[in-house]
Amino acid sequence: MELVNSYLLQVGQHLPRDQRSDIIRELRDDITEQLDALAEQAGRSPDAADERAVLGRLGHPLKVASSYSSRRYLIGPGLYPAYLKTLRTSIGLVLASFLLFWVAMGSDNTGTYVLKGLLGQVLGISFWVAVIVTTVFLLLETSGDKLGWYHDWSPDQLKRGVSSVDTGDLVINLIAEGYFLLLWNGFVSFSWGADPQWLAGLDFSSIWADLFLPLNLTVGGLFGVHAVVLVQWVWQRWSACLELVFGVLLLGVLAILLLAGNLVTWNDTAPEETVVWADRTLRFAVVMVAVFTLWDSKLAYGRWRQPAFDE
Amino acid sequence: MDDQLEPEALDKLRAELRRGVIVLAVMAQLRTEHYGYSLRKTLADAGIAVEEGTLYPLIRRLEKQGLLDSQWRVEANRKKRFYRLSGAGQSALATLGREWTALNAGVEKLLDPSE
Repeated sequence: MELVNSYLLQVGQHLPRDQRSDIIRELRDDITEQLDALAEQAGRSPDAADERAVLGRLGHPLKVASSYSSRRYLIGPGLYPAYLKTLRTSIGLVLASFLLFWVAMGSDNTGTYVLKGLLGQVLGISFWVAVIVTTVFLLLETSGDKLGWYHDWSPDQLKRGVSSVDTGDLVINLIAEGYFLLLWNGFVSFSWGADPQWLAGLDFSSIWADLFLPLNLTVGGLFGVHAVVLVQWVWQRWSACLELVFGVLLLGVLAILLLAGNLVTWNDTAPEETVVWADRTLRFAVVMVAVFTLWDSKLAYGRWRQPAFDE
Repeated sequence: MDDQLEPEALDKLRAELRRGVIVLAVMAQLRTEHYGYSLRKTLADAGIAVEEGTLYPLIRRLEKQGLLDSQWRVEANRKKRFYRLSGAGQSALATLGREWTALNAGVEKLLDPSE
């Protein structure tokens, strides 16, 4: 039933949340009955070929999900999957070109300077790419050309997902991890205008330099996993497992930070209370990150261990 | 000049023709209790094959309109949703049934080449 589970998972992702469970349960029952009928005819248990036959007849998951909605669309269900895929791929290509350019420039001062300029521009380019792709699909929708998307679909194209994607959670993770990586590697910085007096004389302790690579690897790993899930739009067992591994490793790094004697160093020019305040603030921030990471790791463990999608 | 209608255009006409008929057939069948698959099978046996993507949204819509009552029950170790015509549904079916009979008689007459 792995194929059926993946199929229902993808149908469910496009259904209203309040009706999802009911609709999926009913569809599952219907599919099971059809499989039983096929198996009874053949005098054996249902197999993967039967599953493919039943799902192939049912059609693309989005087509099934859209039949439950009476909404009218600017870009209707006939084109929406192709639209979403084109949009994601185009913006992904813009980001990939941007990253390649950054790597080619290296991390010297010129490269950093160019990257800072590009960071603003990449958002603008992505916006215009989205506008162009959307306009093309609006024209296709009004011209009635449906690209034959559903006709070309077969159950073999199903990604073997174990859990649906929580869009908000995924996007927040990507933004937080991406921003941290840029900050941590010195490509962006907090801009205070002028350094405030109370920061004078404070510096990070050596533990941060020791953890430069581990933090890059763990947060970078999580960013990579989340980027792949964004493209695939479904959690697979291996991606859930990787998120758990990187999450646990990050928790280890955060524990080392919390156990360190000092997170900031102090010289004579900084008042002692400022040092204590800065150290406590940093520890609080690390604890908060640890709590979020622990929560995400718990969810990842649930996805990884889930034997199969069940409503 | 080709007199044959494009298959796509014919499909559209067929879909339009079937739309209302399916509602009536489903309501008529739900005078006795059915769950989704058994309803689909009974309709198919009667020569009215309805796809899952058409039937399930339709019965949900009819239920929302108060024409059907539904209940989740366990049968053969599986949880199934059983549907049945409600009081309002029975009275709507009686009205629609009369209209169908009149329409059918009229269309039969119009389709008869000897008329």
